Amino acid sequence: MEDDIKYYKLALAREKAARKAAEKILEDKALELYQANNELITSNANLEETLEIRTAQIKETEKMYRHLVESANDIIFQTDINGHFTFVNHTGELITGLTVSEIIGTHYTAFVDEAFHEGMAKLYHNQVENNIESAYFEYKLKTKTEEEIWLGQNTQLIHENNKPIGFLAVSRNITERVKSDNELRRSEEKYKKMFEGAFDGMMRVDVNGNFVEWNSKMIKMLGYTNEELSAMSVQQIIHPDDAEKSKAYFEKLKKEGYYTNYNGRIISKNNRIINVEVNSTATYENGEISGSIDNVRDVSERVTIEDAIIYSEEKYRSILENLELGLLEVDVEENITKVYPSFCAMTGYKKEDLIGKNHSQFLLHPDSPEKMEAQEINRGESEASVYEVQIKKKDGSYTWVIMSGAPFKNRNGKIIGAIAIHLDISSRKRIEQDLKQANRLAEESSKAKELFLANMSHEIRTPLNAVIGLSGLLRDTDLNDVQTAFASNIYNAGQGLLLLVNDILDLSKIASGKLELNMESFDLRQTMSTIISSSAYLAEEKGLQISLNIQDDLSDYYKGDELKLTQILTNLVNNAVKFTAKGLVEIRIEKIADENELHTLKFQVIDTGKGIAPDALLSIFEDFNQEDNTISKVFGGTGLGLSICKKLVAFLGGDIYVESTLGAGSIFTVILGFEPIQQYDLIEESVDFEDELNWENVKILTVEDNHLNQFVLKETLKRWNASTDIAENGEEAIEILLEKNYDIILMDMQMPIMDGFAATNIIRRELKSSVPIIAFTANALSNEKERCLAIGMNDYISKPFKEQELKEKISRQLKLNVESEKYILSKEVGKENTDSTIFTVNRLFEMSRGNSEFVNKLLDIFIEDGELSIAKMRTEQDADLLGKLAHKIKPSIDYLSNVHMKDLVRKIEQMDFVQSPELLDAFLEGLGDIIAAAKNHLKQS
Amino acid sequence: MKGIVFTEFLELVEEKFGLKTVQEIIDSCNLATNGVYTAVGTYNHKEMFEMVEKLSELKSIPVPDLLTEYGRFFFKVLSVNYPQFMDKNDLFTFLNSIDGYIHPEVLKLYPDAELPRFTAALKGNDEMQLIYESSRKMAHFAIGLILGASAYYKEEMEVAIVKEEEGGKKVIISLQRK
Repeated sequence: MEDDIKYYKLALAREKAARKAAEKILEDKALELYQANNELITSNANLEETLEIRTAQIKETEKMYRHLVESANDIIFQTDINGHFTFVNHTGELITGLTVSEIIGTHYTAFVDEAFHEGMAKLYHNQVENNIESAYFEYKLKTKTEEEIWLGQNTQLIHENNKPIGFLAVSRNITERVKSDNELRRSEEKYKKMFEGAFDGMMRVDVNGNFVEWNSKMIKMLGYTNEELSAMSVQQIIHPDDAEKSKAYFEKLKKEGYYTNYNGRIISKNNRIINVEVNSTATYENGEISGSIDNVRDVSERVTIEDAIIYSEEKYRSILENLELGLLEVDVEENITKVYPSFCAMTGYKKEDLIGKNHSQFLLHPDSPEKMEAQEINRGESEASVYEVQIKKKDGSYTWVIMSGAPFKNRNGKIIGAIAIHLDISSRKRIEQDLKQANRLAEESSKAKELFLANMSHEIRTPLNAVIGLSGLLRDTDLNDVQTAFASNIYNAGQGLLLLVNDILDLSKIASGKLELNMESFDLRQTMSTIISSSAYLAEEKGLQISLNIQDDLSDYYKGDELKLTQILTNLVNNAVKFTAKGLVEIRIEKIADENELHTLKFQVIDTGKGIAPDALLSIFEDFNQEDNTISKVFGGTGLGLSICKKLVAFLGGDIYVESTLGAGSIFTVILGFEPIQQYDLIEESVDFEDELNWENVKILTVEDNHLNQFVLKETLKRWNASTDIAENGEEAIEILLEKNYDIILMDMQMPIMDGFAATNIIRRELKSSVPIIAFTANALSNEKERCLAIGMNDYISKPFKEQELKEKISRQLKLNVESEKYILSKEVGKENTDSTIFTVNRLFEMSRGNSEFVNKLLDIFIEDGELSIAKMRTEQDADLLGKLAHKIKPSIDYLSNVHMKDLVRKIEQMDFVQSPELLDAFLEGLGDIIAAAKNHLKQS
Repeated sequence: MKGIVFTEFLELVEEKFGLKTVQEIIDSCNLATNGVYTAVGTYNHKEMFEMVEKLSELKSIPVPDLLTEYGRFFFKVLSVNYPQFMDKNDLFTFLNSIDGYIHPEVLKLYPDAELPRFTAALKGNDEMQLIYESSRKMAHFAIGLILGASAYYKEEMEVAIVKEEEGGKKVIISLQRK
């Protein structure tokens, strides 16, 4: 407890001490505050007094400055750092014409000529950037009038807190100085230009004649270098003989200040004497003559240039005169301004006839305005242009000219007119027209020739047809030996004549380029045998043997122009037989190249005949050429054969040549390329001619106006047991066809009333008949066949026809016909009863090229389909569906069965069984038989 | 060092341990003031440390713990005397304002005051890092003040020393919301 009291006492004592300490601290602080306050009051009073004094001082200074600034002759202004005016003095008002308040706040560029904006902006910027205290520059003020005001400006940076805040500038009007500077510079430049750019030599000399200044022309003229000239005087270049004369002129210069047209001679560095014309003006310094400026013209050069111009003009004038060009000058409106004598000579006009006349209106043919319009446009574009036009001559006639307008310009490049140049081309035009005329005549004549050939062939072939046909028929009748010989002779003579006509036609075809390439597949041996057979009769008569040797490695079948090959080789073989009296004729064929699916074949016709003389060998392939004139007498012929051969071979891209030894024989060689093919390529095109036709059943209509030809045809057909109805012309044929159906029509092309083309057109387009038509014509023109086929005919036979050819062509057409069975007596069919062969696999074998596996597969399918069809057809009541079932099985029947079944299936298809129900039973029975036979066939194989 | 730190310290000792302990400390320390302090005066900070060390010795409580506890107590005194500085929405905002606002204001009132540097860095909504820098090496007193503030704003915090550098002159303190 005592302790506690003790501690409280101690604590209390501390508290008292603390309170006193605190009171002392506060007392001290209060005193501090009092003193501080007193100091503040005193200093404040001092400050106010100082401020007053300073303000007064500043005001005084400012007043002084302001007076200075306002009374200054220079513009004094301030801008902020961005260039906006913050102050400007009265002079600024005077120069800009604006009041101070209008200027303040405006940007400096408002007063500066635009050309200086960029430069000044850079200067200001540079001054701020690099802290440049002071800068001077000169610029032009922007003014509302033409008046130029130039200012020279001293600009100082204004700082605040070490940062640039604006510019203080003093600008002085320096317009007068700048103007005089420019004036001086311009006049100096002008002088320099005139001096240096002068066409003549220019020099300045002092009073003693020493060179002070000279231009490059002077250097060029004298040949001295600048250095040399600077150490020389005029006296050194003056010709010694002119020394006195030149002195006199210099005196004159001193007295009068100038002289003109001094003509003298000077001497160049390399001692060339130059004729000069000098004009001088004195120069002055401080009122004293100081020398002269001299224009030194090289007159000798001028003379040369003048000569050259005269020479050049003379040259062109003579060229133009020699060209006989008619020249006129016209203005931009095309009014004639100048007439040259050449134009008068060309057209017969006098100058006064033309001056002032409009070129186009007065001279040009009325048909030419659009040409002139085009020309006018071109002239605007300053281009020379050329036209062929007709112009009117003085006598009123027109003449053809080539006209060209060459524009010419004045010194400013403006077109002020044109020179119209006229070249008379009337004679050239005449020749051109003559040529056109000649060409037209030639074409007409060529056409006439072709027409003549066509007509001739028709006119000759028609009677020939009768001669050959009838003599052939006559020969086969019951005649005595003499009569037979006569008939044979007539027949042979007719054949000869036909050959001749054919040759001429061939040649004309070749000449007119109307040969066509007929690419066909052919059996080479077959073709050769045909060729040989054509000469066989003659060979046999002469006791000659024709042998054929075909190399083993040749293909059996080829593709190429068989017709032309036949024609060529027939001719060669015929010749060989004709010119060989005894021995043999051999045909050799070998392959000499085999590349790119092309065999190059060498055909040789070798004979042991009389041979050909060496001098005749060269020309043997020419037109109308035989070895000698006696040949035609002995051997006949036109001399066209070999020529035709050569041309045909050339057409086919081959080669033909002959080797011969007089008295020993000849070898004709033909080289041609053919494409080898496989046999099956040929099958589609071949028709089996071995099938004999049942000619009695073939209904033929012959349309022919010529009675002789009618007779020949009737007789020919009679020999095959065939007969024909005759129509006299197309119209009659149509009438007959409306009544009756035919299997084939033989149609002559040229007939009165209605020709073959018109008749065929009606048959195909109006009667809508597809009956085969074979054109029958004597007209051998090249495009005849195409025309026939195009109008819808099936084939073409040229008159006079060969019996075999006619037979083949008719047979081909008949066999192509769907319903041909009725007149085809197939060998197979011929042997067997038609009815019993209700089933055959021959067609299938043919189609599959002997592939029996394929045939059996098809038969399997047929049996399945057929049995299904029978089942359906037995129960089906709907006639329409029955018809459709028949339609479906029809192709199989056509392949596998006979004409009877083919007929039957079509009748079912057309629903004939509705009227005749027995047809359906017959068909189903037949179909059953076919299926049974097919099954049987499968069993056996 | 401002007098209030001394007077409040002795108040706290008196409150917690009685006048006897106060007297013992004053007697056993070599104090120029003889233990007489007034809040408006300024005294040598060494006397403060001497007294704290003595208290630690007497009561066997580590100096850091004493400083922390004193800091917590002292914040209450401050919050009553200077409510204008506490006018903040939350603890982190308050702590963040010490270096930039409170201490500059204090310096206006007491130009001779020696104040530590307080660098605050907010790490998300629930974490803050404070860097204490002072030659007085009184980070634990600072922690006490932070805890006092935490209680004042009613935001419970886990306060820890992350790192001590330069013998306590620079101390990194982390606050993690509980």
